[in-house]
Amino acid sequence: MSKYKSRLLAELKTAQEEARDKLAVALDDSKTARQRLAAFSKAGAISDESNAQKALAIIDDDDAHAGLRAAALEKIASYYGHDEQFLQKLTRIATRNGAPGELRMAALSSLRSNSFSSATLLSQRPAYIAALRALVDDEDDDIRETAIENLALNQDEYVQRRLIEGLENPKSKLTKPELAVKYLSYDLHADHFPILRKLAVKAPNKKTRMEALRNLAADADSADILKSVFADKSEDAELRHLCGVGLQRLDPVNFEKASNKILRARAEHQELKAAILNTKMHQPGADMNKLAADIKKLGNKAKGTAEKSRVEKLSSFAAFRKSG
Amino acid sequence: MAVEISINYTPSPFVAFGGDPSQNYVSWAPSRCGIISTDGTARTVTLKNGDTSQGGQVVFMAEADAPASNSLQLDLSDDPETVTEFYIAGKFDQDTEESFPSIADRDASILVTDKATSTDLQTLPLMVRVRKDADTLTDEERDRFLTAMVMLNLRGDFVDFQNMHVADTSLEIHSRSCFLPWHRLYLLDLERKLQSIDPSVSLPYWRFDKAAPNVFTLDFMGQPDSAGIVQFSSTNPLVNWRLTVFGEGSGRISRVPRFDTATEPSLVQRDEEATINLGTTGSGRFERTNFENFERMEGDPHGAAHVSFNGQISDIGRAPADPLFFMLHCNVDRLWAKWQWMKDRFEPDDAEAYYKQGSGPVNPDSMRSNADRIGNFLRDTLWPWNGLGGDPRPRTAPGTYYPSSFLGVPDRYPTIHSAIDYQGQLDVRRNLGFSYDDVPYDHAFPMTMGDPI
Repeated sequence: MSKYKSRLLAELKTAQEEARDKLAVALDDSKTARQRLAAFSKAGAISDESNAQKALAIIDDDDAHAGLRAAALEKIASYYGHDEQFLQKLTRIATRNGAPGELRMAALSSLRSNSFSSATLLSQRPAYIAALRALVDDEDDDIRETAIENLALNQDEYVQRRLIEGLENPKSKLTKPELAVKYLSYDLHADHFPILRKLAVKAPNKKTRMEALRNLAADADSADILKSVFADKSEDAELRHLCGVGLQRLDPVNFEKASNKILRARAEHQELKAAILNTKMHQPGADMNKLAADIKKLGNKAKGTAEKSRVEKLSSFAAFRKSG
Repeated sequence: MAVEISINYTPSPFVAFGGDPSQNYVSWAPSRCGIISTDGTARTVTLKNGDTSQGGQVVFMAEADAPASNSLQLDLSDDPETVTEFYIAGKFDQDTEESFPSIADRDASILVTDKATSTDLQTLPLMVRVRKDADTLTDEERDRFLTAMVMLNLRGDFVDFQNMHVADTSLEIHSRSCFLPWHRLYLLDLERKLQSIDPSVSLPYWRFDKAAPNVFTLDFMGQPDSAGIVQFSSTNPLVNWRLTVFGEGSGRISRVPRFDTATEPSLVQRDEEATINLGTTGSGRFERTNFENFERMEGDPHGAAHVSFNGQISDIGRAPADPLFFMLHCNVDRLWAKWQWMKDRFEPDDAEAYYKQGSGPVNPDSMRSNADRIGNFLRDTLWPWNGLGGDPRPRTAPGTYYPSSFLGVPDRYPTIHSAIDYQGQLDVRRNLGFSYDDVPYDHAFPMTMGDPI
């Protein structure tokens, strides 16, 4: 056996022994909560029934330290991932008013984690979705945001309706407006383009406007809005670039015209030019000779290390594309 | 040129001799090579690394299972039709724990010297191409990977990878034993398509059980803004990344970590040691170091790594929308590869290496449980590359058949069997052409001081 394999096998054995010792401390109720929490963090997942039962007892003990209960739950989430009753228990914990937030979040995370590996969880999907809906107004920020995003990823009509209502009437908002736009964007058919067009003109903050414009790139009727912002020198360079990327998707001909105009203009923002060149170079069939010439022009005007480094990176990519 | 070398040489079907540069890529596993004398002179030549001071290095073997060494002497015939075969592999010395992967395209080379005259006859550039820890990539390695990903995305080929891994296909590829082999072939499919854009690219892996400060930067996987939208530097190719999730809009990647990406590992419960120890930390049936126990890593660390974030990567039906997904899965595959190597689990027909032996049932009555459904057994062909859409498989089969390679494996309709002995440890013809930087190939004595194959 090689020295490398011998060393790794010895390390595995040591790690195994350490994890076993730490787990023993973590499950030992004669130790302090602090000692047990520290031990849990080094213990690894539980893989046997006897220790899993001890962890279950900690989770069920309402008088136990909240962090300890959450840690115990995390350690057995994978072990019981195919157990219907355990998954139902997680749903109950996640939605239980009055239970510690730490424990509820651990339950919610474990449900999400098991969604990657447990066919059993699929059979409980209606109850899982109902539980998430019950959490969209939760007082705990992490739990609420996690529930809203999970429902949005599942293209849940209920949460989409609540998010649009919140954007139209801030008094009924579920979350920050920029997050609401992001969550709605998970579904092309969330009926959110009318409100996004309004937000593209007037939004409660810059971030929301940015997200609205970014997502309008999926709306064929919004090409003119993107074109207008892309060409507007008074707008923020980053905002203009994202509008350019959106325009390229919706109306490539007008993107070409507008982007070439920006690249030729002396007074335009150098970073915007670099970003546009980056975008153009990655297009299949890009005219690399022309783009290389544009990069050279940009390089001639580059000032400072950051600008020069950007140009250098673009040049090396252009050389790679030309050679390929 | 007095001699010509062909790397990844295949006498049948015939490949034009003289070396196709697109084939000059090797991993830790032995690659079959051929050399001929082209000027009608019989000669003895010595093969060695062209430059041992930098870049990749290889070892040489007279046969695939022969001892590996830093040089090799061969007698060449005066007949240009007579090919002298030998093998090379990327150098990974398991006793000194030194390995020599390339850091740039074709930065390794084989120098051929005429023994009688000490004349250098040829220097053939090649690359020792292995999958590396994403946190350790050079800027050039990182940028080439990102560029290839974006170009695949923008030329329209990435959408197949998105559509293979959606909610409707989840039970075909998750929650059962084929999870690991299916994702191994899925990653290789992607990697081969990236290599068709830039052959120097290999998939990097994200070690989710360690802090990876160089991964979560504006120049690599990006950093979220206050809305959780991932931001990139203006010259990062990923600034051009397009979401291809069916029914989703044109938004950008959303990814909010639930841990400090600069200083902490993700929220996995099992680190690398605990994962490889799966099956030796439990009691009763969990004590055995077999695949049935190891596959429990699908929940943790795999699932736990996914939900260490909010955003597309935390959702099974959208996760490939985030390029980090492929680096996460590359690490999942590396952990399996390392477990296989440490526990000697390369024999596909050994139930300890893969316990769903044989073929899946064809009678629908026998397919009640997900684990008993076709597609989960060693000899089953894998969806979607088998082209079989419709019950009991998922409705559609995007991507069609498997991309070919100069290695000739896997078959265009790959089976689970073809994914197990991925480096050809037990049969070099099974070598799929990828390796991990920390998982070696066991050559015969003396290179590894290990057991002969």
